[in-house]
Amino acid sequence: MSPSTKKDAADQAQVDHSRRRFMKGVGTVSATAAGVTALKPAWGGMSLGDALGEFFQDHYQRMSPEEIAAAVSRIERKAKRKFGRDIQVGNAPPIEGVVFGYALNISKCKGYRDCVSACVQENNLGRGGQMEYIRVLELDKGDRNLDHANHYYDHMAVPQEGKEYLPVQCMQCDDPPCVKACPVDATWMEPDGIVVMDYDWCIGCRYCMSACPYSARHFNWREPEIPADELNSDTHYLGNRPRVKGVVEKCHFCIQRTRKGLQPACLEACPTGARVFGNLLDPDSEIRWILANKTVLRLKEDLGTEPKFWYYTD
Amino acid sequence: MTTVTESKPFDGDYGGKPAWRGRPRRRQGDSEEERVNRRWRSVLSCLLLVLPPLLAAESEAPGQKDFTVAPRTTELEHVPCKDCHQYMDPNPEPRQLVDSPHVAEVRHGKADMWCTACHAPENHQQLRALSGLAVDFDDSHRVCRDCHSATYQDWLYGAHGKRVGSWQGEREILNCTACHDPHLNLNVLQRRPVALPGVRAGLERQVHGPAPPRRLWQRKQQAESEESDVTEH
Amino acid sequence: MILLSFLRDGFKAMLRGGSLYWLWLGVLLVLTGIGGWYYILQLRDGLIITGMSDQVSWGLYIANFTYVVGIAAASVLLVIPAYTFHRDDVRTVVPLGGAMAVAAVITAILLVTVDLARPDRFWHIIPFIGKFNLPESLLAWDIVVLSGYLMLNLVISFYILFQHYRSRQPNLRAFFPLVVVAMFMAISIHTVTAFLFSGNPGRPFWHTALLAPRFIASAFVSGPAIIIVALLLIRRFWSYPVKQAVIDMLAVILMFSLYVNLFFVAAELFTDFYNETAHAASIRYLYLGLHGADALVPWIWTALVLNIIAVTMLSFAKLRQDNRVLVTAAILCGTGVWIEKGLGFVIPGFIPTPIGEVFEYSPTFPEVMITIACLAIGALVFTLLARAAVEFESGRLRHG
Repeated sequence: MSPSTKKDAADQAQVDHSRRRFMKGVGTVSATAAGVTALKPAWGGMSLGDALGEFFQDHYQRMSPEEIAAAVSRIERKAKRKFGRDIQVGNAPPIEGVVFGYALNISKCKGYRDCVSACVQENNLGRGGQMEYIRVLELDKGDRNLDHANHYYDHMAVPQEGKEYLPVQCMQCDDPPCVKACPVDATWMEPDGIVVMDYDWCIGCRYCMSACPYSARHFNWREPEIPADELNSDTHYLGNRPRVKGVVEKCHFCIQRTRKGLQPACLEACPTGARVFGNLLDPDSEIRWILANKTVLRLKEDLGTEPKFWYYTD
Repeated sequence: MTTVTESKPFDGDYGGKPAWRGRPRRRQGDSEEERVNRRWRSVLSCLLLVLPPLLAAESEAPGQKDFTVAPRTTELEHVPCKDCHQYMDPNPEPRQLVDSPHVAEVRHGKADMWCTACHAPENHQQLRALSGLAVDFDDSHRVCRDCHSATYQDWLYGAHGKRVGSWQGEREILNCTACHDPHLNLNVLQRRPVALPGVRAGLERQVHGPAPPRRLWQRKQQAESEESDVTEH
Repeated sequence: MILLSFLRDGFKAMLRGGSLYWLWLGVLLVLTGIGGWYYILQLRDGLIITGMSDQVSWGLYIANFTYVVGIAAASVLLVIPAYTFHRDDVRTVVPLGGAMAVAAVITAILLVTVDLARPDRFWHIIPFIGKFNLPESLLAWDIVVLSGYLMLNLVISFYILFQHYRSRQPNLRAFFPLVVVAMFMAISIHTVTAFLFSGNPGRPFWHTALLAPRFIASAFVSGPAIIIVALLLIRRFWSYPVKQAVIDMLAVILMFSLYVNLFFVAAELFTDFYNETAHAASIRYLYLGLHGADALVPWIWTALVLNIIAVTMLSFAKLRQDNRVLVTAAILCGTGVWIEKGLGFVIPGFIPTPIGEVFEYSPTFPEVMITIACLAIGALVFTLLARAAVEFESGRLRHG
């Protein structure tokens, strides 16, 4: 802790109220200290500066751009240490005038589960656990009672005769019960409608998992393991950056892709073209046409969660 | 679910009629009158399918943004049709082709169609629509829509098919032929699904199988089979 | 100065006792130590050492949490008769009820803490420094009311004991408002805990307006049951004059609450099973098993049988007034309610999952030991506080 950083912190503090003063002081100090002590391995492989910076890292929505930049470089250093690879942690803001929506053609889903594995690869999900954002349910035709679904179908070939397939993932509810549940505001809905997580703010109480009516939230019961060569280095702060044990995570409509104009990985992977993604505020978008012209349904509409994920049929 | 219609040998002359009308197969014992009736029925039903898109044909749908399809004409140079067909007269007779470098039969449309329904016989680099209009291979959807108008509409607006690249800006979509082989039946590919859902380490025993049969007829069947099991033992 | 000597004498009193007393403390400390060891493992490896999963994301910890919050709430059953019905005999045991409430709330907080995967981020829940999702999050509310209730009980009990220590009568007028607040808070802590569950429409098993009343009713079973046993033990081993009238009053409360609780259970069973909807899948899993999964079926029927036996024993005044029968009945229904609102309530809420997967839960050994350690710490806290309270209240400890 050099005297000058202390002074910086103090200067900063005068304009802020007490809470921010506390946070910012520590943030600035640790960001500078990180440069000084980066070479000393301690604190679980971290430098003291990084350890302090991580501990006192503020809530994403409350950080200044400089604090976010410090956090981002800390996260990148951490990934380098863990995986020996350089990753880029993006922080692309929501696009003005865009609210994302998803539509899925159940007549076209054949249960191949290609979306599931593409999602695991794209989003750096911990391998060897149950960490999968998409669950494809196999149902008897004519029966949409989810309690009758087969989650672990393992046929030699799908689609099976007389069966239909229903992929379930985060519905990005417009009135998300998980957001309401979180005691510390670690999850919220972004202006583009994506319900995101601040993995560094979650305290791991798992109340959001109880609140979610779609089993869309998943927990890191242990340190997630990803083979270093399979790590997707193109990441987003609120999306697929590497996570740690003891925090909840969820589908975020591939925020690292979609905010750059790309389509979600599950959509790209789908071999039957069952998935449609787009801007709900654009009246000319495909998804709006589907909502206006096809018979659509949403899961558990009666719960009032207002999912932004629709199912339709041919 | 997957049905394969066997193609049957052609059983009558074609009479120079447009290929798209198809050819009702002559059955033994059919009177001439029945045959004519059947032919007219198929013509009418085809017209019913075809008319709406024909009327709406070139005025693109309102509110519809421009789109591009992934080009395919570039692939034509790998398919030198002319090398053979310049020495052959178009034969409108549906049949099994022998030693053909391309598909040996046309299963499209319940095997009632022949090559010239879609391929322009006079120019192998092009397709042709029902109206007789020549259609570029990049625009093959303009041929498909002649019969598959409802699906075409879904495709045009994004409910069918697949958009590639970005979700915003100009639509780049896959053409019908990117997924469907028009020479074959529209069979759904059956294959092994990607791995089972994972289970949290150490909890494999907690998975419980799917529910027992619960559809009315399945329950009845099961009850009957159980009953017969009991009586047998 | 006098406060310091009060505290010093209190601590001294806690450490005075016979060999049986020390054996009891020793056992609790050993259990705490074993659980503490497993908790260190849990901190190192993560919650993977428990039996919880994405499907059943809460387990033994939260199940016991709901139970002990009920115990904490039930101490109000001593406060109400003492201060609103002016029962002097009950007043002598109010500090013991306070000790019970303090111990129960501490246990509840411990159980939530061990359930937290990232206790290192505790400062995120500190208001203003962290971020507190009020008024939306019921869990945030739970933290507020639990810590408030803990404070209230500490203040009231300490005030009474301190006044007695100074050989003065507590100024009822001064702390009566606190007593009133504590009464409402006792109900509110358990109501908020119930809302924590019933506020989730995605979990139909929990999503019932009957839940809060049911929680209160079952708390008024488990609370008096434990208080009766504790008071009888204190009377016997520490020769503290607990009036039989207090025990009899608690026994009657226990009986009525048990009837109400059983009635609520019956109401739930009828509503769910008469015309069975898809929302009844969890209760079917609990009572009858679902798709071949039936881990909780023996437990819940045991609970039901225990409660019915207990209520039968308590219904006869002659039997009820026999302390041996009363203790037996209290243990039976205390256990019955522990199953019913612990494992039998929290776990089935997750089975089947909202998207229809039947995935069972059974706690692991480390998880059981950590839970036992939390309960042992609770018992330890109660023993020490009650020990000091008894010494103060019996007049054996006075200032000067």
